[in-house]
Amino acid sequence: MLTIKNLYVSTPENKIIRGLDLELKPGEIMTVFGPNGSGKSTLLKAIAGIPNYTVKGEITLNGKDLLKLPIEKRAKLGIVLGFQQPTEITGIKLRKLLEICSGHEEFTEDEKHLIAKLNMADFLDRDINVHFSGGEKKRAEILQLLFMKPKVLLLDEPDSGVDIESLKIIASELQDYISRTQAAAVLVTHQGVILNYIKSDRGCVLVEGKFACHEEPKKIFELITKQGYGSCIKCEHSDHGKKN
Amino acid sequence: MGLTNEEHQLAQSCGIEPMRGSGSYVFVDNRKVVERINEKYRGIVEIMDINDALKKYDGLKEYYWKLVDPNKNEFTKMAIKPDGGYFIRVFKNQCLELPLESCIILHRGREQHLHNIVIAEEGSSVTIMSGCTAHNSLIDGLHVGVSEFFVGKNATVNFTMVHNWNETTVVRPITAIKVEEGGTYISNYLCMKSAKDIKTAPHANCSKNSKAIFNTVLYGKKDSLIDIGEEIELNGDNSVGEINSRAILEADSKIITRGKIIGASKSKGHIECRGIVLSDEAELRSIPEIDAKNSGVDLSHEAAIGKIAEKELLYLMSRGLDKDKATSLIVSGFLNMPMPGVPEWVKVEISGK
Repeated sequence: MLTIKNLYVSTPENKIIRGLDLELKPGEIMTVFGPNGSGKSTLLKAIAGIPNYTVKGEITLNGKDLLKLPIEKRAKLGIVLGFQQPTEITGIKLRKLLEICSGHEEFTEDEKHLIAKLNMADFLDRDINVHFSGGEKKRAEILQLLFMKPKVLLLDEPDSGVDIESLKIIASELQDYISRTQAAAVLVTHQGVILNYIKSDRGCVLVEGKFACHEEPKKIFELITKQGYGSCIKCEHSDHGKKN
Repeated sequence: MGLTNEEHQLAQSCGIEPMRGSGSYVFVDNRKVVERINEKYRGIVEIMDINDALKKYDGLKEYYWKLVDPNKNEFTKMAIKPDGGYFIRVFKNQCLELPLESCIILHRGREQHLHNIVIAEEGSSVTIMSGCTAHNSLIDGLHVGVSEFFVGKNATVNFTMVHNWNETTVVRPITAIKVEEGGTYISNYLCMKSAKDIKTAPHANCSKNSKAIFNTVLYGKKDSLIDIGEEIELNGDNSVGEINSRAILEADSKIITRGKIIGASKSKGHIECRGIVLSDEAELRSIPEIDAKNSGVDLSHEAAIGKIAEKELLYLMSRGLDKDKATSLIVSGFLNMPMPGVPEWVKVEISGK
């Protein structure tokens, strides 16, 4: 489904991703851990097509080269990004954005149901993310992504700033969508709690621009909780040392 | 002679439907063509041509040229003997739940000089929708409009004006407002289409416990020059003044926004000017000014001019919009500031930009 080969992502100042490979199958949720500044968000943005990065290597969706496509065309193809810090936009209502995401003005019964489940009905006629709490922003973000009916979800800390009740709802809706549609997801998290409510069989740690420690996500989370990220580089499953 | 189909369409182009609302006044070139009151509102409101009102009320001695000096400038002098203009009076303690609608049209005549008077008597409440427009074929038109608003004690006037001129028209509205104790005056001014040159500096004088709010939305197109300078004088304790403007500029347009609030009492005022410049050839100058003349004043201003925020663009593009559509949506959102009393069609007009 989503294939990444020998990916390098840099800014004029920094080489952030340094030779990364990834193969994501339908229905698969891959969890990515990593210390601050390790490049997790950059990886997701590079896949989504956010400009301002120099990207080299290969990113394909079912064989289609994504690197030649701008962000909006990748979104139309089903590559959608849930931002770590969703942008506030004054004067545009969340309802309007959801209409754009869904591609139609009248919400379907399923969409109305989803709005209700995520407790966002009262936010539809408010400006996008303006004066939303952290958790409300993340619920609005998930709503937008699911309205887009994505093939690949790029989830940048969907659990940060979210209370446990909202987290359960977010995880449940994501899991339900992925199980039904066999979409794939890359899930970036620091908290690990979301793993109690979502089924992710693959995990890895992003350190110094490469994956390390491919493992079952809960085991990785236990390891980094006890020993920190330093142990990941030495891990036998690490990509570090394979190539530069 | 009544309103022709073409003139009717011109009125509709700036959102005015002459036979709608609690009353209407339409003036084309140098002649009044519609003057009506909905039967339900007889005895509640008066609407007539200014020259008829001057005859009926013995020269309107308490109101006519009382807020504006007829010798203020060359344009006020042009309106000393006005071609027409509306006289609106809402009687004491009367509330008009439907708006009054007025439309001023430049069609074939090149110049018009108007004088409008609005009186909201004590405890009354009225919303006035005013559209001003010029026919596309008209070359080098000049519109001069003197307007004097008298907002009585505890009365409310909500005045929305849409300017929809053509690219060769020069426009000089000269407006003054007197807000008595406890009164409220709200102005919503929208200019979304090209005009050659618009210059106006409405002045509001606020008494104790009164309020004046100016909301202005400007879209500078082509080589339009728009110079707006609202001024609020807070002369009574607990009076409040607000000046809010949003401006978008494209092409070679030039916009100047010069809000000024003078605090001469224990009063509160705020000016907010925001603008987005879309073209390297456009120019936006924002000149907010606050002037404290009393130790109990609370005055503030903020002004921000910039380009479209890239993170907003990327956020919308990540939802599948291309750059042009994302830009257009951000612009319409930027212009869509809260404006009380503005009808739905005006919001649609803004959101369509």
